[in-house]
Amino acid sequence: MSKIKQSMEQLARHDLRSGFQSFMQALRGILFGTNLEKGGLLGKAVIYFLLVTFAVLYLEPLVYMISTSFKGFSDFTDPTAKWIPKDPTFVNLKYAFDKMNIKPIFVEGKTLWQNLCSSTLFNTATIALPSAAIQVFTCAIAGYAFGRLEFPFKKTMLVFLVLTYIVPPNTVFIPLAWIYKQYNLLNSPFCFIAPAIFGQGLRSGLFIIIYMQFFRKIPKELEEAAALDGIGSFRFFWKIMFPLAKPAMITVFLFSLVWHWNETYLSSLLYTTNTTLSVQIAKASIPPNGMELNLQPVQMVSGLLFILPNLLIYLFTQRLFTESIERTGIVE
Amino acid sequence: MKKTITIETRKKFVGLAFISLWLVGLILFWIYPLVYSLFMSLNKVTIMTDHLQFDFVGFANFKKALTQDAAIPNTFLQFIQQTVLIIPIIVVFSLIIALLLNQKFKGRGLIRGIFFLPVVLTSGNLINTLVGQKQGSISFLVSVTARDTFSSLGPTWGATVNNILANFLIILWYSGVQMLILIAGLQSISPSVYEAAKIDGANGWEALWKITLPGITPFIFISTVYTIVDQFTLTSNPILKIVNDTIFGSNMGFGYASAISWLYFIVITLFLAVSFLIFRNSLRGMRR
Repeated sequence: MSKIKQSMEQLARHDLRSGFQSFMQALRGILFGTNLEKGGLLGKAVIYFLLVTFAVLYLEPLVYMISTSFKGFSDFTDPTAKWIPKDPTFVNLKYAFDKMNIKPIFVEGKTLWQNLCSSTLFNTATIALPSAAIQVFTCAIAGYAFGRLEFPFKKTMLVFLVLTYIVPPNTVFIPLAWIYKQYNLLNSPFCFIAPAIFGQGLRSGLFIIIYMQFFRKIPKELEEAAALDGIGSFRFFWKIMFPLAKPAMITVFLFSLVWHWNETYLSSLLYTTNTTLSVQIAKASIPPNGMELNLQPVQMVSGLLFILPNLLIYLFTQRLFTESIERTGIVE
Repeated sequence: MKKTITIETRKKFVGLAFISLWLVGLILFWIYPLVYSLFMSLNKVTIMTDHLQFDFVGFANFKKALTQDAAIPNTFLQFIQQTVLIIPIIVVFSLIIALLLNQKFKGRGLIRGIFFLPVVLTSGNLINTLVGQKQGSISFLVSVTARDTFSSLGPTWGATVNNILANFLIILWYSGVQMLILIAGLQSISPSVYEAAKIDGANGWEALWKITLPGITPFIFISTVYTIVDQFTLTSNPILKIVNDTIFGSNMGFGYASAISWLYFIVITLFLAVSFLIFRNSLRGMRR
């Protein structure tokens, strides 16, 4: 600002040439920034423009999904009601809620568990919650071994760890599906929980690497101090190292929960008679003939019902997600 | 002397104790099924009432998939073409967004939250319905002129490019985690390097090419690997659909499905190997 004033003064003194020069210099400073850290206005504007444009594009499908969900028969074909339905209706929601089999159907003569399994929400929740909780523990143990301890063939095992992440799960799960079938274990959350217990669940390889990198960063002195105090290795892990890994625990739990919730391929393979929410949305969204329903709103509302828990979790833990990678220092 | 050895062995036992659970899991839930699957891929597997019957057929399943079943080589080829294009798109996009988000400005947290949001939404069937309702595209990319321009690339590549453009937004949706990895990478570059460059008279553009990009090359590599693995495990992936459909098919079944799975695994390995080769030189430079 002071530079502009100066240039104005120079102009007033009819010092046209130097006045113009310093004015341009000042303008350039404002627009492009004077040094590396302080970006100019123009730079800021470009950044905002690009980011806001992309952010709007990014959110468009979600907004479309929400608005279409509440569109009735007339609103759906009305172009003036593209984003905000004129006459919002819950017909689609009610229809989709029933078709999604969210509520369990109780049948006489079946056990409580069998009855509850008729609910897709119950199936998804019994897969996602226990698996995520178990992965927090078992991946921590394996990650600690890889990050801090010595054992025979550690380098080879590390290669295997990376391979478990890389090999597509379908290669492994085809024979597993048959083995589960032999023991009558299909259609139960056991299919997901059992591998999780042994650190081989959904994306366990990635989670173990997260823990491994986290434990590696903790200073060595901690172990030495513990050894001097005579704390055993297992107590040391459980009382000191594991609680320290809180950022990694949160990251693993949230990602595991969301990924198990969204998982479609394995659940369609392993749940043959009952289904999970993620599979059911494809089946639920076909309205019968003769009903005053459009296909698209029903599809959108079933999708909305399905992602609602994830959206709510994300709304409240957004920072835990977006800061997860910096905080755990996975990449180093 | 004797005592140090016992401490060493003790340490190894502790390590073994901690890894044992994972090791058992590796054998039960990974090596065993993997070997089983390899074995099945070399056999004609018939499902009997209570067991599977194996007839050794060698590489017949693979041969059949590659030469007789026209749908499979086509699907693979299409999928490979598509992935070759999608991976750089995702990595470059997440790099651009990471560079922008690494600047200091108001509302950064909110915008970062928006860009990461799709990670909690990308579920197979949901994505399929959104794509089905043409919500996966950015309108100006699917204009008629654009379609005509790319169709002139020839029948295979033209169709692939147009298919990607029609789903462009959804493809960008898969860049959330990579973006975070790259932001973390950008923040690992010490500010003093930039300061030194500034004193030497470098401008922002030069700093980007000479400091920032070389500095985050390992992170770009990690993002690329993540993208490849992610793209290969998508449920919307046509090859996984074939595998799923064949497993319980009456005449082909497990053996054939396993063979396709192994082919699929070979393709993903090739992708990872190529990306490793591309990044090899810059990675070697980074490791002191």
